[in-house]
Amino acid sequence: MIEEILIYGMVQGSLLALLALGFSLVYGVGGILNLAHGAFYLITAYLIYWILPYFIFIDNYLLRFGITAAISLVIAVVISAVTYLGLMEPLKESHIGIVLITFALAFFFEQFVKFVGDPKTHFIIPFVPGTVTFLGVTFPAQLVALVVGSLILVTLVTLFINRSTIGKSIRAVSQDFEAAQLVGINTNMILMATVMISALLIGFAAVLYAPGNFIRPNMGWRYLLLAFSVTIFGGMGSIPGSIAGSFIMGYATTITDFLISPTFSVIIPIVVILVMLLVRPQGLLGKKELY
Amino acid sequence: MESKQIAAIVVIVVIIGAIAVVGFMFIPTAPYGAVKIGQLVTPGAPAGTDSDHIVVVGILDPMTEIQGEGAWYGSYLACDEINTAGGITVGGETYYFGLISEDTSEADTDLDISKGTAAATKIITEDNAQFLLGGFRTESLLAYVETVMDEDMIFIDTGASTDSFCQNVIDDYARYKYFFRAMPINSTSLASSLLRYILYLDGYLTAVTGANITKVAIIREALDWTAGMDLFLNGYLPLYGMEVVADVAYPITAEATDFATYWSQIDAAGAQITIPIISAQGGILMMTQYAQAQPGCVLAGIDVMSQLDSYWGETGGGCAYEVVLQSTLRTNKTTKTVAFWDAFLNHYNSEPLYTAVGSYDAMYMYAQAIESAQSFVSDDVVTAMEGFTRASPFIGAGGRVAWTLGHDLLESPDYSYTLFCQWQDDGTKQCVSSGGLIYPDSIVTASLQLPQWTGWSINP
Amino acid sequence: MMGLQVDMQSLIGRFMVWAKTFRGSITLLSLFGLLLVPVTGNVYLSTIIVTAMIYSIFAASWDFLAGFAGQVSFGHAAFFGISAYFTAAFVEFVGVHWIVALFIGGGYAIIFSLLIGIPCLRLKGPYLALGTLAFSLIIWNLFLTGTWLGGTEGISGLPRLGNIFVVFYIVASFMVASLIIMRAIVDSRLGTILKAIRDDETCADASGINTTTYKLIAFMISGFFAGIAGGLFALHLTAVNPAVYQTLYSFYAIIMAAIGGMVTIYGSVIGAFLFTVLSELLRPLAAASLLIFATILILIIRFAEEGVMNPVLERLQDVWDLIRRR
Repeated sequence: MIEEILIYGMVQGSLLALLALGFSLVYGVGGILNLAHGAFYLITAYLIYWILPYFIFIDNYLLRFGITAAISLVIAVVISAVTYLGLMEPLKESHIGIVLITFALAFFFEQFVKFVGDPKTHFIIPFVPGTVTFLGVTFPAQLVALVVGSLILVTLVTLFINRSTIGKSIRAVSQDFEAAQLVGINTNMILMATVMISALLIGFAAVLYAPGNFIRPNMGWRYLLLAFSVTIFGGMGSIPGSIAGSFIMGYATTITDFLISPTFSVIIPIVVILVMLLVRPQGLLGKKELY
Repeated sequence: MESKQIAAIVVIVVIIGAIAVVGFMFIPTAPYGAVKIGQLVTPGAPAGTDSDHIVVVGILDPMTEIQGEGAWYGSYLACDEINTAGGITVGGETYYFGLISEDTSEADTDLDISKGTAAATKIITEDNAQFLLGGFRTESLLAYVETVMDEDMIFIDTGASTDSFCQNVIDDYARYKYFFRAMPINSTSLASSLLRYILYLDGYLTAVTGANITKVAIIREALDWTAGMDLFLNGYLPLYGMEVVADVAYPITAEATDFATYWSQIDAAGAQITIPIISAQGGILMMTQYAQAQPGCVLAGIDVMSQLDSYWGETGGGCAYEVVLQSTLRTNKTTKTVAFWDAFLNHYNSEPLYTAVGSYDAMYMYAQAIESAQSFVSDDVVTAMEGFTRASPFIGAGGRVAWTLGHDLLESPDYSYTLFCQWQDDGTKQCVSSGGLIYPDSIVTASLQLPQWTGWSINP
Repeated sequence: MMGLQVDMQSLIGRFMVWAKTFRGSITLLSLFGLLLVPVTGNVYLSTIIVTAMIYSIFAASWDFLAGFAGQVSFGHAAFFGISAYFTAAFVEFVGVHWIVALFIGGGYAIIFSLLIGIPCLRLKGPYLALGTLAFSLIIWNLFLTGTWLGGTEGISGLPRLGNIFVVFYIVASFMVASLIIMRAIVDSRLGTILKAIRDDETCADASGINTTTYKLIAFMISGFFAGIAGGLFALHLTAVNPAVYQTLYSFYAIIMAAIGGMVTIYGSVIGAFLFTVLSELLRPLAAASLLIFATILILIIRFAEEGVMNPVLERLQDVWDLIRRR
C-alpha cells in the first residue's frame, strides 16, 4: 500500500507540476488569470491525435510520435502567442476582461475541436509500451516517461527563470511591473514569452500524459481547474510554491484514492484548498501582498 | 467604441460570413441520412407529396453526439423503408412519414436542461411534429417529458433506461400514458440480467478453470444509477455464495493513472470476476489499463462505450475479452434483426448504436399503430400501441415488444432481453452464451474466450 | 397619511420626469414590447423569453456582487442551485404554495451566501474566485454522489404554475421587481458604501465603515436574488438536478452581465436576452452553432469592454438628440 501511494502520488504530482507551473508564472508576471490554460492541453492533445496518421509511413512509433509531438507543440505555442497578442494584450488592464476573454477562448477551442473533429472520446496509443514493476507495484511504463519528463522540464524552466536574461526579466516584471518598464524591459514581450512558456509546459503535459489516456473536447476545463487549485494552494505566482503544491496535492489525491475511497478524490483536494484559503489565504509560499 | 473598432468588427463579421458561405458551397453532397436539425426530411416519399399527407415524427436527442446521430440514422432508415414500401394508409388515403429533429444538448457534460425544454417546445409548436421519439439523459428527459405530456403527444423513449418514467405511467395514467419505452430494457431488468449472467459465468468458470470462483469485484462510476445496481449486486451475490472483495466507485473524471491504481487494488483483493458498471469514457481507460496490468480476473458487466464498433480501435485492442451488455448484435434476435443490421451497415458503414435500433423500431411501431388505429389522434394511437401484448407482440429489430403495465419493455427470453457480447481476440464482437438464462442459446455466435495472455491464470 | 401622499406624488413626479428622458422612454418602450410577447401566442418564443428573464435576474445578482461590491464570484451557481433545489423540494415534498417555496428557497440561498461569504471575506481577486468556485464544486459533488433530494436524477414532475403565458407574466413581474429593487439598493446609501469598499477597502475601513458587515450584506442580497432566479428556473422547467450547480451557470451569469455591461444591473437584461436568443437562433446550425456562438462572444468581449448596452444607448441618444434638435 505504501509503495503504491508513493509511486502514484509521484505520478500525480509530476502531472500537476507541469499543469500548474505555467499558470502560476503567467499570473505572477502579468496578473493574467488565464482560463484558457487548459485549452492548450486540449489543442496539443488533439493536434497529436490528428497529425499522427499523416506520419503513418514512419514505422517506428516512438519516432513518429516524437515528430508529431514536436509539430503539435510548435503549433500550440504559436497559437498561444497569437491569442496573447490579439486578445489578451489589449484587455490586460481589466481583470474581469481577461477572465472573460480567456474563458471565451477556452470555450471556443472546445467547440472548435468538437466541430473539426467529433464529440467522441478518443485514445492515443502510449509511446512507451508495456508495464514496469517497481517496488513490487506494476504500472504503465508511460507514467515513467511522465515523471521523468516532468522532472526534467520543471528543472529546466526553473533554471531558465533563474539564470537566463529573459528569465531574469520575467522575474523583474513579476516583482515590480512599473520599475521593470522603467529600466527598459519590454514588458509586453516578456508577458508574451511567459504565456508561450506556459503553453509549452502544459503542451508537454499533453504530450506525456494524453497518450494512454482518453481525450475529449471538454477535457481542458479539468486541467484548468487542477492548475488553478494547485496554484492557489502553492501561492499565486510562486514557482517553488507551485511545485511543492503539486506534489502535496498529488499525494493527497492518491492517499484519498487508496485509503478512503476514489469517490472522494475529487472533493478532498477542493476541501484541502478551501481550508488552505481560510487558514493561509496567500498559499503555501505566496507573497503576502498578492492576496 | 471607436469607429475604427466598429469597422474592425464589421470586417471580421464579413470575413467570417464569406468563409461560411464558401465553406458551405464546398461541402460535399451529404451522405445518406446526414443529420439535419430543424428541417423536415421525407426520405423515400414521392416528390411533391403535399404536406397534409406527411406524418411528421420529431426526434428529441443530443443531435450532435453519437446518441442523437444513432437515433436519426435508425429512424431515417426506417422512414425510408416505410415510405418506399408505399407509406401507410389511413382512411383510404396514403400518408408518408417525415422526420424533423431538435438538439436537446443533453449529452453535454455541462448539462443545461433548459435547452431540452426549449427544443421540445420548438419541435411541438414550431416544427409541428405529430409524434415524438428520442431521449437519452434521464435528468434532461425528466424535464422535457413534462412539456411533451402537457401537449398529449406520444413519446417513444429510445435511450433512457431509468425505471421512473414507466412508474409515472402507472401512477398517473391519464397524464403519462403517452410515454412508451422501446429501448433499452429498464435499469432493474438490466441489473437482474447482469446478476443472472454472473451466476452463469461463475458456474462456467468453475467448470473450465477448476478454481473455486467466489471473489467478485465491482468497478463503477460514482453516480446514482450505478449505486442502485451496486446495492442490488451486493445484496444478491452473497446469497449465491459469492463475495464482493472490492467495490471501486470512481469519480467520472478519473484518468489513466487512476485506473492503474484501481486495477492494482482489485487484483490485490484477489478478484476472479470484475463487474464494470460504466457509461462514460472511463471504459476506455479501464480496458487499456486492464490489458496492460493483466489482472487475474475476467470482466463482465456494463460498459456503454464498448457498444461502439470503434471501441476496439480506440482501446488499441485493449478491450479484448471484455463481456458487455448490449441490446442488439448481428444475430437472430428476431427475424428482422439481421436484415436491419446489414441494411444499416450498408448505408452508414458503421454498426447501429442502441438508440438507432430503438428509433428504427419506434418508427415501425408508429406505422403499425397508426394504421391499426386508422387515426392520428394521440389517444387512439396509444390504444393501438397498447395492442402490443404478450399475445401479439410487436416484432422489431431489437426484440419482440410486449408492454408491461407501465408501457415498459417486458423482459424475458421470449420478448425483450439484452445480449452479452464479448470482444474476442480477433477484434470481433460475438454474442456469448448465457446458459439459456437470459436468452436462448440458439442466437449465440461464439463461445466465451478467456484471456490468452502468456502466463495468465485466474486468481486462486 | 399626508406625508405618504406627498411622497407618492413626488415619486410619481420623479417617475414622470424619468419617463420623459431618453433612457426612461427606451426602458418603458422595451418593457411594453416585452409584455406584448405572449399576445403573439407564440409558445416557443415565450418559453425562450421566460428563460432569458430568469437568467436576467441571475446575471443582475452577479453584477450586484461583482460590479458594485467588487466581490467577483465564480461560484454563483451555488446560490442558484440551492434555491432551485429547496424550492422544488418544498413544492414536491412539503406541498407548500409555490410562492412560499420560492421565498423559502431564497432564504436558503441567503443562508448559503453567508456560509460562503463569511469564510471568503478575507479573500480577493483570484483567491476569492477560486474560493467561491470551490464551494460550488463541493456542493455540486455532494448532490451528484449523494442520494438525498433525488440523487443524480434530482426532483422532477413539479406542478406547472399555469400555461406558458401565465408563467411569462409571473416571471416578468419577478424580473422587473428584482431589477428595480437591486437598482434602488445600489443607488441608495448602501450602494455608495459598497462602491467605496470596492474602490478602496482600506480607505473605507479607515473612514469607519464596517466593511465586514457590508460585504456580507452584499453577499446576502446577491445570494437572495440568485436564489429567486434559481427557484423560478426550477418552477419553470418543473425539474431540478445536480447540474444546476455546475460552473457553467456561474459563467452564464458572468458572461451575460459582461455582454450587457457590468456595473449597470440593467445591462444584465440585455446580456441575458442576447445570449439566450442568439443561442436559440443558432440552433439549426447544429455542431457549428456553438462555434459561431463562441466566436461572437470573443468579438463582443474583445471589442466592447463596457458591454453592449451603454455604448449602443449612447449612440442612440446621439441620434435621438439630433432628431429632437431639428
